[in-house]
Amino acid sequence: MQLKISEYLRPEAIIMEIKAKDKIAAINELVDHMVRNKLVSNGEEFVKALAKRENLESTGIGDGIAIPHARTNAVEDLILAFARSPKGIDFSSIDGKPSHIIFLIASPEGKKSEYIMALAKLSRFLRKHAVRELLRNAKDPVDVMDIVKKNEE
Amino acid sequence: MLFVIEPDRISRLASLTHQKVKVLHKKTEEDGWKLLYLIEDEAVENGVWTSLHLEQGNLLQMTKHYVDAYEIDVLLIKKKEGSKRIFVSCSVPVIGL
Repeated sequence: MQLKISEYLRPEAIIMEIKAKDKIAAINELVDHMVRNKLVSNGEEFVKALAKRENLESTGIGDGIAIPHARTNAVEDLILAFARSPKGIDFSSIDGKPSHIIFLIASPEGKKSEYIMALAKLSRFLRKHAVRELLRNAKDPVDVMDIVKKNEE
Repeated sequence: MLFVIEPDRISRLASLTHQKVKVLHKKTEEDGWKLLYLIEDEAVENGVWTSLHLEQGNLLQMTKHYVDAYEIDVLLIKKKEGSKRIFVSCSVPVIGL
């Protein structure tokens, strides 16, 4: 199965400059944004599922990237969101660096293989230095979407 | 959890199977991340703290680096042809799965 990251990311799920200063506040801000844009119905359950993971693992994968993720029936389909933090947020990355680029992934409980595939694709995609630089310099949500579309394989 | 991609092995496998190194590398990296996230999903279900790492380099050197850098007490490794080196060279107990 070929999965494209760009097919699951929408401009309404993108925050160019997140205000939050810690990881839980960042997750809350992203989820609130998604609820306001009607991408998620049960924001409270969604945050709970993401926060549970954050307490059990480091979703900061290094190089200024964090991928908070969860399987939860608070979402109806696989969903992605993006946020950028100019100052960086501590996501307990193993390299100790703050995360400037945050990609959030969630899928319903029953879509495990799609969810794992999306996580794998995104992790690989974000290991490319050029992609990280492009995302850090993106001007607006449309620019973010273009970068993802043009650089995913 | 650490997954190591060995470029030398990828090159050898590519020439043996007549595949492009780039294609094989991409597949190995994606499969590595999938494996890491699958184990992580299981770990989270059971309340076990995890941290995922995918590195490129020599398996033995990378393993030794992680053992030293993160003060690892016990290693659990998947038994494979190349992993024999770790059993004899690592300074901490190694359990083969």
